[in-house]
Amino acid sequence: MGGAFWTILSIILVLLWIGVMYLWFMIRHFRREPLVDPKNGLRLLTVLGSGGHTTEMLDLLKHFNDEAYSNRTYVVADTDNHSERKALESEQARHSGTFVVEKIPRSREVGQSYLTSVFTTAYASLHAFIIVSRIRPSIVLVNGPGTCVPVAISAALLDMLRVANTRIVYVESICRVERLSLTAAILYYSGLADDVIVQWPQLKDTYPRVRTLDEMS
Amino acid sequence: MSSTCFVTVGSTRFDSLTNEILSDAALTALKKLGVTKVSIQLGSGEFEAKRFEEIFGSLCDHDSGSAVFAGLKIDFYRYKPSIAEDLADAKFVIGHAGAGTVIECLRLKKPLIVVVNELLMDNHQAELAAKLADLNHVLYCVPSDLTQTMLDSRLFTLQPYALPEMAKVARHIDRLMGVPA
Repeated sequence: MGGAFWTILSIILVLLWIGVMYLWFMIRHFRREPLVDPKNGLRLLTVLGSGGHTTEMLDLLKHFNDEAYSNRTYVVADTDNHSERKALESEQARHSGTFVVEKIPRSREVGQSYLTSVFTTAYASLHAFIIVSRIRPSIVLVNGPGTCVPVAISAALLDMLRVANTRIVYVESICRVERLSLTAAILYYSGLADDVIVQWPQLKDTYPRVRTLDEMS
Repeated sequence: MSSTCFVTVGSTRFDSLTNEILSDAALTALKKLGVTKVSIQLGSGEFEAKRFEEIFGSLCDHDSGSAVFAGLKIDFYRYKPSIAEDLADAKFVIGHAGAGTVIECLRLKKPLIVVVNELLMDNHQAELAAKLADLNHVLYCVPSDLTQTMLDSRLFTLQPYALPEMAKVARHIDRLMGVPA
């Protein structure tokens, strides 16, 4: 009897604690408090991936100042040599700061069974968590490859635990005209992303909290 | 003014498109448009054997080829590291719904016919092409309607599309992060 009581009590306390951490996270991020001293440079972590994601992300990153974002991490799937090469090419145009390419295993290969993909996803997520906790990025910038989900969730968790101060920004692909991608929707509805930026303004009718380019000066 | 029509299928194959462009009706339409050369990026696809032989003869090499047929120069290859030059040289482009090709054509202000593959269900890239077609930035069709679409007078009066400015997004993120302007 006593054992059951303490078990239930501790489960309730843990759930409460998680709830409080989540709420505190939401409040802090909603207030958009100034993050860090930009003089020291920001740690940027991004996820690249095939299917146009890499091209779109590097197109955006071209406009990022290499002094302000002085520590850059590119996360790629370990089988994605193309994205790694593109990341290296884009870094050649930069003049300051440091960068690193981190590889994580693919969570699911095309045609892989769902049962084994549970394990490979867990394994990939663990990798993502280790990388994010080592880097403790100031910003996680993602645009949709599957691997970006565990990366973004790891970053949010570490921020909730106050191990890191991280902003999470999702930039939706120009291909998404009517609906958000699954990844974007996860980050939008969970509130984990500070901003979900979309390229087609009518998406705001369906998802009022997204940011459109028209709203940016 | 260039008189090349460039056909591109991207990284896989799209045989119903690459066969359609070699049909008599399509070649006649191309000549009507003043095209003198058709260049086809074939991907991993194959042309229909009988038509291939009619045009290219008994060519052994199925990875690239060139021929003059029905008054048109026709050549094909499978892949290139970059198709940027082919896009830039073209009078107009016929392409699959891949976002990369579509966006590059918009950037270059090239008239573009996006051909959608009906066999690929739930192809979210087609969403972009359909929207751009609604807004009169590209033409959009299935392979069997290609000839008719090429002869659509709107092909050369499409509206230029102002691509979203990624610099704006970067400045927005700068503000979020507290990076001084």
